[in-house]
Amino acid sequence: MLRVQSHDDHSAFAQLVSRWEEPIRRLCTRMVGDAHKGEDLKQEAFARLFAKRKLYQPTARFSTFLWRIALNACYDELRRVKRRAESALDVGGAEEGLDGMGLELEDPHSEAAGNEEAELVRRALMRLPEMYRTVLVLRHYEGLKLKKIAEILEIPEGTVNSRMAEALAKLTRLLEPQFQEPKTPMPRPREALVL
Amino acid sequence: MKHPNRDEWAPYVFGEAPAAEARRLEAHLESCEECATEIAGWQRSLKMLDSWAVAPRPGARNIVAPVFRWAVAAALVLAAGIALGRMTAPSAEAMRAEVEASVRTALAADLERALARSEARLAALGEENSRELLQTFSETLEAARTEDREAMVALIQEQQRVAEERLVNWRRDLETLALQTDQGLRQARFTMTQLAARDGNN
Repeated sequence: MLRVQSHDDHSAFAQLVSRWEEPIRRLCTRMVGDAHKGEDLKQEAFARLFAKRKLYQPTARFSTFLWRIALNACYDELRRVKRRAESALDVGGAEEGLDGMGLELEDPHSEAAGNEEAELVRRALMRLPEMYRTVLVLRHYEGLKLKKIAEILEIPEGTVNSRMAEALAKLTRLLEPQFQEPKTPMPRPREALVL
Repeated sequence: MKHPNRDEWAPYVFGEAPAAEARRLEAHLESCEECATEIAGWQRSLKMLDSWAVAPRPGARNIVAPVFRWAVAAALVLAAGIALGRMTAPSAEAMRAEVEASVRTALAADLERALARSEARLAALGEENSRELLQTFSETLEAARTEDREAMVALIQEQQRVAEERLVNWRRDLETLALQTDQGLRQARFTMTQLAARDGNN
């Protein structure tokens, strides 16, 4: 990153992209619930990274800087979608979840489509408020420690813990009916859906 | 019963709680059905999250993975072949002697063939060179002959020209001499006539 910052070294930047594009794409896909948008947001995140390269402080970890940029790109996209939905439907902001945010809860092009359980999970995550979804995605899917998440989000670790507890409680409420249903129609976690 | 705060459960569920804290929370779970039910629900939810997998980018998967699979398959076939060969092979010494004899015979035959080919090539090369030399000699000789012939013709023509010129000169000289002789005769006759006339008058 230092070479990118001081010499505008494009080959060094290409190496950074190569190293980080998959984690960033996964994060963006899960934050917005759509693989195509996830790919676009990944591009947006790296464009922003290059534009903001001078702002990077070598005292902080590069990954923290990059996760933050990617998350901000996701938040911007979610806000854009919400504004569009509000202006189209003339609906006020929902207190919780994405019911009123216009996110495609029934997205036919969803990468989870075709696997019932995966689609349920995707929809449940999309119904969680951003702040809860963020901590869940970073911890469970990207394997970041709670302390690291606190550093990325610039909040105390205790706040991350309480958001995580709230996220898990809400998620469980959303998914709970599945736990009690008979397992016949539901594909067991026999294999992770690959899209 | 005093329940732990909700946010205390997050590090525990993800295995990040310090050991003492983890023991305390586990002990509470054993005695509190309410908390145990809730945490079990969280854990089921987390497990369920795994069903939503995001695939790697298609380009990387479609190209690299098949190549890797083929490479593994090729390596397995090769390894099986080597193992089978080792199991069914005769003793190393016999095999070495057999291979050595076979290689010697093959090398000798190859060498003979190579020599025969070289000789034939050299002979063909000599014949070809001779033909070329003869052709060059003939061409040179013919050129020299032509040159000589032309020089001879030129010389003869020159001699002829000189002879003709000399003949013309001789003829001119003879004509001049004849003319002068005629004039001398005429003058002598005239003189004789005058002398005769003078004698007659006397």
